[in-house]
Amino acid sequence: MKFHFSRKQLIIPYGLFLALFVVLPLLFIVYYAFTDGSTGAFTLSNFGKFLTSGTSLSTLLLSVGVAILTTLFCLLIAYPIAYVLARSKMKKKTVLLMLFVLPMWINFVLRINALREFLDLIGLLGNANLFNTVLGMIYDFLPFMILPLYTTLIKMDKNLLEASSDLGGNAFTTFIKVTLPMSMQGIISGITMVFMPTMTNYVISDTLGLGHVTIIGKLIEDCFGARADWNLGSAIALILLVIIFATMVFTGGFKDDEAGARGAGLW
Amino acid sequence: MKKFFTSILAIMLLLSAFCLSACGGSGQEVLRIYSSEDYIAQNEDTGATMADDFAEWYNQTYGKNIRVEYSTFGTNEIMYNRLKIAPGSYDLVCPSDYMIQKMINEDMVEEYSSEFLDENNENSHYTKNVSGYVKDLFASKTLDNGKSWNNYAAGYMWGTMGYIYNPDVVDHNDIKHWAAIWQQKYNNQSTLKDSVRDTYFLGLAYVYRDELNTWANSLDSGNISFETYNEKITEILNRTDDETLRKVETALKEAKNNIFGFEVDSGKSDMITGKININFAWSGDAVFAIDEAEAQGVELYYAVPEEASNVWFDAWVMPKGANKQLAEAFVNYVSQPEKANENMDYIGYTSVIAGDEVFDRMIDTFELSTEWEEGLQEVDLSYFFTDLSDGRSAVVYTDTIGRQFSAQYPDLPTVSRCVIMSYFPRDVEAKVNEMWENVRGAEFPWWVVILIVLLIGAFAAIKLLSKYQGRKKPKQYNGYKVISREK
Repeated sequence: MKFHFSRKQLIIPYGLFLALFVVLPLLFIVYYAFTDGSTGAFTLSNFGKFLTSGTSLSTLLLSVGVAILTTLFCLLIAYPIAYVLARSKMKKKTVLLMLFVLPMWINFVLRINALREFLDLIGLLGNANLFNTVLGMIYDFLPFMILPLYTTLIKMDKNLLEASSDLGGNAFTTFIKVTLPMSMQGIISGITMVFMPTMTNYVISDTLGLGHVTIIGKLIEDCFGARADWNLGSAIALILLVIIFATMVFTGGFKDDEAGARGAGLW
Repeated sequence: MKKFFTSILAIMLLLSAFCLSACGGSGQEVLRIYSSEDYIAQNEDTGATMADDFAEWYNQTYGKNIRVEYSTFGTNEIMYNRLKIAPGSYDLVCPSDYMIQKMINEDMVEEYSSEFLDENNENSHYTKNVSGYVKDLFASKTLDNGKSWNNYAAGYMWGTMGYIYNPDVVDHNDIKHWAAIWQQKYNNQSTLKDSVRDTYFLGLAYVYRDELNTWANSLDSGNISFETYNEKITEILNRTDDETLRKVETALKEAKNNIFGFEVDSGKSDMITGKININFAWSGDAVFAIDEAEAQGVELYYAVPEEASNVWFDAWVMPKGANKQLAEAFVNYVSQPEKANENMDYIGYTSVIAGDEVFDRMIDTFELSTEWEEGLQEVDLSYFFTDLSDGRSAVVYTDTIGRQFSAQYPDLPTVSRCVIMSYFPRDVEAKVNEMWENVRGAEFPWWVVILIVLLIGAFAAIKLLSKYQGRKKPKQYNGYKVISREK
């Protein structure tokens, strides 16, 4: 038999990967979320349990709060530096960029424990649990914000900036009217890359918040570990998935509207 | 539907197991062991565990080619879930007392053979060497079918729960009571276990401390027998009624506001670095922590508070469908006194194996004396070392009470006030877990609501502003014609 190679066959490796590690586990989660642990019958009680528990909802809200703060500060820190990096004519700026990404190459548990010792040294550990948790999250997720911002900013057509100043726009106007809308893609992918993992990264909240800051990821871990309630754990994971999906749609709408309209307005 | 999904999961788990065994060569017998992390001696140079040694020993002794697959779990519940999903995937597991009770009740375990339980069999190292204390305790846990835990479980390690503390900062008298971590003067200096069962137990002992003390006093004054006392405190420390749950929840929330944090692992190192001064801990961890601290010039102590405490056991059980012959051979192998000593030296916990060799190791390791001298205190361990040869006395003398030795071998008064905590039935477990979630969880975070409102407000403002700007008509200048933009 003759083997015909076509482009379609290139997707086979990823197709298999997708089916085995993305679709199948998702099906498992959906199955567990909608069934009863002991009988296996269809039920909505897992969702009911979560949505009627005041503590669970508080935990969810707290996670959202931690995630918002982390994302906000990551954005505030990352945008200027990505902007400067993308604009600078420095030859060695890739080295500088590498320095920002370098921490990602060091084991994350190690980094967080180092931060724990540092916080202890300056007397914050055990005294400002929420602050420490957010600080740890920022420390860990900052590279994920810098990278997408940097890539969109560096790809931006510099002629647009010149056009803006030719038309009489000062630096501020240029930034607001040109740079910011053009980098909206990067901002959104940065936000999604920081916000979502922050809600579930309980290793940081446990290590730096010393168990005083309980986030939703911890709750899920408890369900799969000590509580041995896979059904409730899956239900919470699914609720989280829906929330993330909703924010994606929301920010996606934001992207089309803003960037699209402004982009069109430019021409 | 449930069958379908669980069977897929089971197939996946089994496939991985089969692949491993298939790759190992045909006809080779495999012993699959599932135990806690860091719970067996390991050669630091070669990385070989005692399980690997067993395979080698077995191959040499019986000329049979076997292989050991040793895997580990984080919590008993994870082990239980795995066995439920893929029954028959392990030959030997090492859960704690309450989980063994649950597994026996659910008919998940195989019985040990009569050869294994036969004291006259030369290979029955476990039955010959196990401490009479453990054997009696297991025998007292009888089942409906007239058998006891001894028929289903072979002990491995055991210990108590108590406080590790730094006497430079913490008063020895304060630590005699569980209430120490509630004390304002130790604010931000103590840790609790991030484990619902252990911390719930502590909560019970704190909430019912007066009641526990009353019974202890009655025992001391001879008003009640030891059996009655034990029965009473066992009842108290296994309470799970709604009122108790509410009281424990309140107490633990108070504790949470006073402690440094919850931990499962970091407590030991935090004690050594001085971040905390009281650590709610398992006795085996205490031995390890005191050792480590000593190497760094810090002197730590371990105490089991006077009200009452928890005595726990981890034991080998064979899940249904296990390769019993190999599993029993392994249990006997690790139950040889020299192997028990090796394990104790490595992990710090106390083996259930007693006997001359274990006794001698204890004397050597803790520099104890077998004869009384000026300034030494007497510790009677005859309850544990029940079968020393030639009528040797199990009474030893030491000048250091409250350190590694006391943690590894609690004296009789300490053990007498310790009870086993039973497993919770499903509905009770759910309630206890809910209580625990409430303790761990936060108060309603109003600041997040404000934050979200502010964000939405800011977002809406930007939207409105840009819309308003968009409507602004370009200024008209004379001589120029403005071409309106097309939509």
